[in-house]
Amino acid sequence: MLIQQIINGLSIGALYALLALGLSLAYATGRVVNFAHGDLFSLGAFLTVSLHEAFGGYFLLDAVVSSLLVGGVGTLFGWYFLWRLQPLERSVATIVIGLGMRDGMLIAFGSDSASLPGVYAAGAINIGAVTLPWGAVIVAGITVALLVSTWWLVSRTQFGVQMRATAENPGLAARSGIVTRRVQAAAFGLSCGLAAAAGATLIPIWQVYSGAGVPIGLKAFAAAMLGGFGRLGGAVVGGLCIGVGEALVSGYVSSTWKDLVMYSGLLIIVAALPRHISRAGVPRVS
Amino acid sequence: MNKRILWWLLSAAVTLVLIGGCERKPAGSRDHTIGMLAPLTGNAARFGESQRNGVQLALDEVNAAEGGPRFRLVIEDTKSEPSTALTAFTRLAERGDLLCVFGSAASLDVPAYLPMVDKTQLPHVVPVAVLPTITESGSTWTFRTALNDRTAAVQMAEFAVKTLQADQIGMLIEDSAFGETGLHFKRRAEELGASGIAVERLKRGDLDVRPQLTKLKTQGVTHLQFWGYYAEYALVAKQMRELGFHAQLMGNQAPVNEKTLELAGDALEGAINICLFVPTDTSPLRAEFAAKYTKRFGQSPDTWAAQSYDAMRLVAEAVRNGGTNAVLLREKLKGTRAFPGVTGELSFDASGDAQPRSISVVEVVRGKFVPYSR
Repeated sequence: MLIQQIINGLSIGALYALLALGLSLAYATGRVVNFAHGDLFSLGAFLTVSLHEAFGGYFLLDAVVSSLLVGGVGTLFGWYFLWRLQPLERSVATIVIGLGMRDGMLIAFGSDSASLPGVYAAGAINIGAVTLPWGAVIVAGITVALLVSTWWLVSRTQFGVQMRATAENPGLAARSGIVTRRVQAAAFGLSCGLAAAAGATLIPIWQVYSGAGVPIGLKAFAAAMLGGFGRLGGAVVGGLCIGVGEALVSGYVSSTWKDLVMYSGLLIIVAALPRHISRAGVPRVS
Repeated sequence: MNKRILWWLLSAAVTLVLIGGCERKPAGSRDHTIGMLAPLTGNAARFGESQRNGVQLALDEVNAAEGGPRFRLVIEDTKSEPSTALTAFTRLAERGDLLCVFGSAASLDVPAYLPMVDKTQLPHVVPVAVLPTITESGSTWTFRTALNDRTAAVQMAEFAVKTLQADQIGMLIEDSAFGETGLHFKRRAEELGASGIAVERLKRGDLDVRPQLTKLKTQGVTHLQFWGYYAEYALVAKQMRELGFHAQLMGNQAPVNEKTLELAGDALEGAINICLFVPTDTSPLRAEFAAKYTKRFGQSPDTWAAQSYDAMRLVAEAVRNGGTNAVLLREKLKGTRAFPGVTGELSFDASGDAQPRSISVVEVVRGKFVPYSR
């Protein structure tokens, strides 16, 4: 059972990792803590279901289009609105936006849950007593692909260099000729798009409703915090740890006490870790 | 337009509204206003929709009948939130013109405003909410056409142990007062000789129940009893299939509707649930209701719609028999004996629950809930 629980944990943890990565990216480059991150996750899921129902056909296309849509709107929003505000106001603005998004989704998609069952291959791979469901394998595959692409984007491209420079020292970056507001808006959009992509990826094996993003967003926060807010690698490790931790606590302690045990444990760990690992003194991209 | 004329028109309009607002119903009028709390949005929205449809269908039929009482319906959305339910009830109670109130379909909404019901002295008819405490907390103005979930849990336990011969049973329940009702299943099944039942919990809106399922699977569970809402039931079915966990899935009343099937795809095939009304039932009264409902709303009625339809017809019948104000209506409802509803014959016991009626066990066969027949 231990191996099975670790696999269960990793498959959900990869998703938390993707969300935490987006949160950290937006924070590192733009000093914005996006409290609507979980809602972007639900929005991606809802849009994918709607596109699939409206145009049918290719799930992958629907998923890509909804992620690009959310990412694009996120970028524009960042460019025209968010970076006109003071850093603290930006974060507070996202709380309000999250509230609005939940009501908007309620109006646009109705109050009921939506899902797209049967898109991923059914069945599972059995290795001894361990079951690897195809659905989870596909979700994990897409998630890893997204994580790797983001890493590539940040560490190997011109845009990545600009993001890292902006994260390290926005003033210096601006004086070196980087339009920091543009970089910040694009990084924010990227983070929004990643959240939507996570929702789109998960929807065939899950179901979404307008308020579904709230608890998931909170877990992404926990993951980002565990990894040191602003550190991308840390966010990924944090997400995987939270996923595996949840599975192990549910499996070996109690599903009733899951959140209590998990998050009090998390607080102790974060408080006990050396400052340079656990806490974001200086936001860093890598 | 001339400003003065505008002012005149405005004050005339205000006066008219005021007069209209103060108007009192003449005694002996056959027009009655009924209030309804319904979770039209939120995570019990599916129940709220069925509740509204069922009541509306019955109300239109009653109003169309020659010479009988006529009813108006005022609906307040509870958003499936107990705090909103309380404000909504207060708003309804403050109107002062209501004959009775239909209670919210979301079980956890009802305890929030239940203490107000007896203070307001409005007959409170609960068509959908199943939480035992609704009738068991001593409200003398509350009547329920839904099936008390405690009865459902006990009956389901008897079915599981006696008919299915289940021995290695596990439970997955929602972490709330609603889910805890399922523990009556555990108690009864263990009394009947089932081995110790492990109970795992989930939260509404959970993303992942695989850890709980893996644990139950490792314990060798052959029958899994769920107690919670429909979206989570669909999730459990999907993730059981993912994990290759082939236990017989059994559920409570709440998931018996088309939305659950839509969310779960074919993962629900073979799942067994308990409920009062089976949409595919062919007895004349039930089939006629199902046909009318399907024609009007474009979907087949679920157990919630059927219970709401019964509740409205029951109230109309009590009014016809002289229950023309709140006090008289309560007496007439109390005296209800063997009212022929589409969910069986209704009589209320001392606590206000409809007597245990013909409870059905349904099974999902080719994407439909049909009467169990294995």
